[in-house]
Amino acid sequence: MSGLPYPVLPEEFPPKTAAVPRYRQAEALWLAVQLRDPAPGTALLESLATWAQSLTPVVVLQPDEGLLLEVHGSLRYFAGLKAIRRQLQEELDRRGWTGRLAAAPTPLSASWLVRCKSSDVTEASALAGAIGRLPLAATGWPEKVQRMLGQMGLRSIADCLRLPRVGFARRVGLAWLDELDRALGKLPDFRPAWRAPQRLSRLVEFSSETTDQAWFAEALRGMTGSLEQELRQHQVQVSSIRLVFRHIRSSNTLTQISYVEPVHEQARLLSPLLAHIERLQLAEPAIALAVETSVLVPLRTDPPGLLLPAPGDPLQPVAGACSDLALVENLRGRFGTRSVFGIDAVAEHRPEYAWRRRLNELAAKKTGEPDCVRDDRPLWLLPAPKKWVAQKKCQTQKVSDTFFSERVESGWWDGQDIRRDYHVVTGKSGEKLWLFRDRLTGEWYLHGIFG
Amino acid sequence: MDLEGLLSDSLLWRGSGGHFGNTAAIATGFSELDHYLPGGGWPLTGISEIFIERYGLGELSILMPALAALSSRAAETRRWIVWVAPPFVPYAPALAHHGVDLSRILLVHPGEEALWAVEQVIRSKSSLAVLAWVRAADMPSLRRLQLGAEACRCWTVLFRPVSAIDQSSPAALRFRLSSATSADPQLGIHIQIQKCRGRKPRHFLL
Repeated sequence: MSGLPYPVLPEEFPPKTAAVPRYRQAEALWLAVQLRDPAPGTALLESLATWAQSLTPVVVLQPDEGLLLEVHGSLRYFAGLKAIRRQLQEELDRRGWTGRLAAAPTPLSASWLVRCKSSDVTEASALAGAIGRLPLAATGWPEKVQRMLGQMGLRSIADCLRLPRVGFARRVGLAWLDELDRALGKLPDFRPAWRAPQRLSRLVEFSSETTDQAWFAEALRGMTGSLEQELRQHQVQVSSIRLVFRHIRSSNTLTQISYVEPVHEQARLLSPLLAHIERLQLAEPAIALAVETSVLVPLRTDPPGLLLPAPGDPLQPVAGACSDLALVENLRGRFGTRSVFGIDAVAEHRPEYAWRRRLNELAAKKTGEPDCVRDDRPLWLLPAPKKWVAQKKCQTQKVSDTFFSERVESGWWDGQDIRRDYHVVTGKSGEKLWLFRDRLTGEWYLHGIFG
Repeated sequence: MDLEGLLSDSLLWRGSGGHFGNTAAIATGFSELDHYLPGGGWPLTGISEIFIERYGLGELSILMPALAALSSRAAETRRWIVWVAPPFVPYAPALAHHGVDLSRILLVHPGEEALWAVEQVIRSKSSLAVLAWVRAADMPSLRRLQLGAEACRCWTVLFRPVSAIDQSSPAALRFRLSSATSADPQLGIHIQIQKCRGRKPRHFLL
């Protein structure tokens, strides 16, 4: 006993003079699940916790043992503790697992009760009596502490509770006194609720190294199917997915597929991935393929429209149409994000800055400002002004140097200064061109075509 | 199948009388052309081929009234007007001037796989129209597009080089554009219709 710490405590414990925070226990009912078979590994517990979140938002993982569910808030919704127990039991049976359940007003007492196959305690007043009957082994305290208590002739928890508190704290340890208080609800026992992972992932290992697209496609089909299930369970969506091809000899090949809007359906998840792997050239055969989601976002769905289409209208959507954004994702999966985009007009004098690509906000309804509509602009703009050589200029009708349709002088503030005189010119075969003369250099450029 | 059903089938063509099933069409915006084309406008089911020697002959201008009308419908039902492999940048301020709703314009640069992209667009059924600039297309792929466009009701316009004009094609409408040599009445566009289902070839000067 000399080896034990000897805390300096006043005779009266807790001292009457000291301000002791009074802890009023909120109404709570903890349901402990002890997993017997299979061995409760973290992965199994997390999968059960994921399911158990359909019963209550407060699920606590007890490593190597089971789960703790705070079910007081769910009693009314599920019509009583019995119904909740039955649902849990049915889920365990469905998975082919065996486990035990016990309920108590505090998490610690629930986990003690479940270890001893005791019956439920729903009233706080009955708690001390119920856990008092439990043997010391139920506490799961270290072997050394239990042996010492055994040598002192204590067999049950009730024996410990009968001892003077100061003496117990001094001889056995303050930590174990606190444990008893927590079990009885005299001290608060905060348990952080388990949170479902913020990202999901799936992995398929192949029986041999492969570059076969059919294998990849089949693996992706299975993985996205199970992803959809889990996304639906959590009511969440993903905005991008990472494909990880694992190789034996070299490091992984990673590719990222982004969706235009967050998605959760398998069809939407899958088709850009398939379009992508069709073009994929792997440097080395892959032994496994993993799918990792981005951070999950809450599910949002648009309610379907109520109005029926007018009959006989040829412009009505055809049955079985896929979403407009699904097409964008599909094309982007194959050609890359930057190859598929929308356009928008910008109020700007310099012609090359009067439009922009829309890569992201493709679902937006309204675009453009009203003052960027120009009636004297060509329908085709060259990506960059192209030098118009003199010999080519001869092929066109005479261009007068003095008459021009428009003078653009702008951009001194951002270094992209331009000074141009724009001319509309008809080519020899009748095409209408938009040329300008750079007033700084005097050179001619082709900038647009009136298509 | 009853006679009425047969007559309204767009695959059945009665040589005389000019009846040509219930062809879905969108007005071209040019009354002379509307009067000539079956259904009173550009045929919405099936593909149309436009042959051009060079750009700048009004190949976009003649489509603009129809595109403006389609884009406003596309905005209502959240569908796209897709441009596959355009040779230059479709200039947003000019498109807006023609009344095209820019929010429904989607540009795709598919490299060598323009036909694949066009088929994806048609089969997705999420587009009202697709304009594509294709260099080479053989009969089987054109046939695929034609069947897809008929089934999925997507106005498919293919811009092709004049060298391909003698190839056989299942397109519903094929015409060549050149500039009018004489004094231009309106746009100065010369349309030589080479093939039009249910009509005899003709010339137009717009």
